[in-house]
Amino acid sequence: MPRNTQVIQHIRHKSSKLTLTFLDRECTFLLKGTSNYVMAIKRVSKMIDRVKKKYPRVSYIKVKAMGRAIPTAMCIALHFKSDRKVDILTGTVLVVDELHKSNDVIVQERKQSSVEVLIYV
Amino acid sequence: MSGTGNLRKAKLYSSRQIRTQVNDSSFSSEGGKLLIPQFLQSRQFEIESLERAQLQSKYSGAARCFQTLPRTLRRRVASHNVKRIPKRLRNRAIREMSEGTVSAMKKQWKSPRIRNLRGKQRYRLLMTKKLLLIQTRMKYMRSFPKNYRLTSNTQKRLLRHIWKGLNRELRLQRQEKAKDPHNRLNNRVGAYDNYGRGGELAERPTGNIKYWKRQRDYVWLTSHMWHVKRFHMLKIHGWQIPLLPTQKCFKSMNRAKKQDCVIFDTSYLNHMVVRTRTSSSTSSIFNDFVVPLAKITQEEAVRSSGVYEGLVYYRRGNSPYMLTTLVLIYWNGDTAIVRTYPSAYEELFAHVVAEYANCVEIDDCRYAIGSLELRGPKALELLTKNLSVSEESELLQLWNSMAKFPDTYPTGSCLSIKMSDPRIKKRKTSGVNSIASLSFIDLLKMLISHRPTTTLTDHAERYASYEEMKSIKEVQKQNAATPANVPILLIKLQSSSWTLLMPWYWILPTWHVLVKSPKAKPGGQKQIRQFNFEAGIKSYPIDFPFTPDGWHWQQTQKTIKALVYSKLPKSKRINFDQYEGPLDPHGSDWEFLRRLHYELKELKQQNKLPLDTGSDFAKFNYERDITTNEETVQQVISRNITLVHDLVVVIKSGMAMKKSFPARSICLQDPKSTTTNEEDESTKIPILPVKSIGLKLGTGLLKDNARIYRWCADPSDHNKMIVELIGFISSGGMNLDLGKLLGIGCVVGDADLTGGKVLVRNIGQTIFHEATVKEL
Repeated sequence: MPRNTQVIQHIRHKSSKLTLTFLDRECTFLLKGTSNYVMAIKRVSKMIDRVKKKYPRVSYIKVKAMGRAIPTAMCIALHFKSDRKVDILTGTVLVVDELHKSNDVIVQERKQSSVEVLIYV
Repeated sequence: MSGTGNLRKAKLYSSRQIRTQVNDSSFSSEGGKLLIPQFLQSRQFEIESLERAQLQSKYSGAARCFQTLPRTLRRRVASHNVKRIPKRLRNRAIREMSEGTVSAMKKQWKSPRIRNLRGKQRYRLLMTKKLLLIQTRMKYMRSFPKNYRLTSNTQKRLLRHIWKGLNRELRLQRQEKAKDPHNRLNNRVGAYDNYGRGGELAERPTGNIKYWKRQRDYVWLTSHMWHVKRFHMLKIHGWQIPLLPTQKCFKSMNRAKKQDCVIFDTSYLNHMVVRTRTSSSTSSIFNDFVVPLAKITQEEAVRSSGVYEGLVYYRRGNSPYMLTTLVLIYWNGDTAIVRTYPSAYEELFAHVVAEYANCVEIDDCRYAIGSLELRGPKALELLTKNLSVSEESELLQLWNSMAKFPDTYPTGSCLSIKMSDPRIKKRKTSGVNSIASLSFIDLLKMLISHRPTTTLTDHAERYASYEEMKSIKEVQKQNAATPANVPILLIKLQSSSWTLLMPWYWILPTWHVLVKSPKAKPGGQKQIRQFNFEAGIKSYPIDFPFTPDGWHWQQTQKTIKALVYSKLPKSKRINFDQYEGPLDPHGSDWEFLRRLHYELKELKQQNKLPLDTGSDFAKFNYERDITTNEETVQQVISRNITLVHDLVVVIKSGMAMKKSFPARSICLQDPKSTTTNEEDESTKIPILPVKSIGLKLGTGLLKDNARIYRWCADPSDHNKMIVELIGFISSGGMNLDLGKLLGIGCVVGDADLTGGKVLVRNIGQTIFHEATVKEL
């Protein structure tokens, strides 16, 4: 975008996550940049217990994070690595920026690094 | 009988037995050591058997299969009518009925026999029969529905009058049928475009003649018969509105909103269509109508991308008071749709006609355009799966791929498209997966570049959409595809919330289709309030006490609460005088706060602050101190204020003397509004400007009408805190999304909230809770 254009509003769209099924929802933990580490540990532990009890066929749960939340996701992976099998998948997510100028709207893509931590139950 | 009873008892007793491991091998006889693995195994077995026993005993008492069903699947008379039981359990139910004492009842409905009736009853029945016959004939002839509204004089001979009128009309139509074939409906189901042309209000729909009397004062939604069986209804502002489902649903609705979709029939919200008269390059609907009405700037217009939801201010004639109401304006090309609440609609319509009639044409589409609201992540999936749009449309790909990205579109996104009869569908497309997928950026670009010019605003298009509309019977008989000619407009108004506008008589078929989906849960007005509250958004009119509707709502609630309180026995009444002091204990006392605010301002100018509480305040007594005598009131009001007690007495005496209060004590502190200079004519005290705030409480309790005070370190001096009062909570309670107590309310406009902290006290309590606050 040229430097001299004045942007009135910059809308950062959420990552285009697909509609989750019921089981996906039960077995996926989405981590935010502002998420608290201890809170996340507690909730993931509870999720593991619940999944183990309710869905015996499910072998792992997913902790998904992107951008600023990646370090927290890594910390969570390290925490669970001591007594469980943990896999880490890295990736890139396309996010969309919508820039509103005085009489125009520009839509552009941006690449955002992402990580998926698979914690086996 | 006794045998069966014993069997049942035995079954119950056996289910309650919990198996335990009697021979515990974990204690080894050698050396008295505990064997940990065996010990753990034994305890695990015992815990599992305990859990199993709990489940068994829960269902062991159930003699019939419907007793194990969840509440949502239970039906009336399911004990003897197998059709009320889910299909998977029917065989079992039939077996239980044949085994047990209950026999299946076959109830046959018998119509009342005319020959058994006499007098008034007989006459009414005969006349109703005649009426229905004529109505059927009129329907067959496709004549426009007659308005049965009658004057009070004719109401005595009502049925006969209607019958005569209909007969006359039938005769006329037979004669005119050959002359003008257009003077007829274009379908057999009685759907027609009922709109008010050129600044006139539309006639109220009367509905089917069988039920017309019930709709005289309150208009029914098209889905009324569906809702009335499942919902508590509310008669308000000339409409019957679904309030909340009859089944308990507070938590389940919250879950449905977060995971699936909740749908609402919001056709009680009224629409008007505005169109420019001239098609010159200088004039546009935006400049001629939207800017002066909503006072929005060009920047706001770009940001809102053709949809504005917010307050508008207008004044009726020479009235000293500004009227404020919440509207939704959608504009494109040379037309705009304005949607508002039924309470404010007629006044706003009159204002628009009076002010803008020279440059725009105004149609009343209250009964011509209906709307549905869908909230939740599955909203788009539900729509795209169940509604089939025109296959020639260039937007077909967009429509089919939209649901892939449920909540990523910007607020204000619009889509105008044509759909076919939703009841007729050859096969269900799986929506998301069936079409070659577009990437999100392509979708968004398509959505932004597509500026929808909706044909929903056009009377001819709405009329054409009803062409040969089928009845339910016809749909079942003949499932042939219909042309896609129903214009719909889809708008995203909030996060995960879509509003669907369509012609009035297409709402019911669409509703029937959508509501059948297991992903959709129908909700009422209370659920809309609940969801708004959970998202921290204000609900109209409750959280807008500065508007006429909001003010009226609060006053009505106050009256109801006072009435309920007065009916309580004396022992059950809370001693409000002790806790509330001078404040009205039944609601938000804005009139007191207004006077308090300006008195304190005056005292500050005279350098008399802070006031002392004094010892006398403890003996505060209304009857003794507040005077209503006109002679003495002047003395009281002009007394030298040195104590808080003096201040309260002066204010309350002034209030007690005043026979009539201003229309509203408060107005919104808004740069767009010009109401801040208004004053109450009789007292010359200005109306109090307020602003909306949101509160979050760490611990404690928060209820409606809680009082908001300035933050201070030591709120123990309860009496002195009255001068720190700055506002009231309009809706407060537990937010299930956050798991915290949340409140939405208003505080005085110039209250300093920089610290981000306030104190809150509920009605009838002395405890002050600390809360974080932010402006909404």
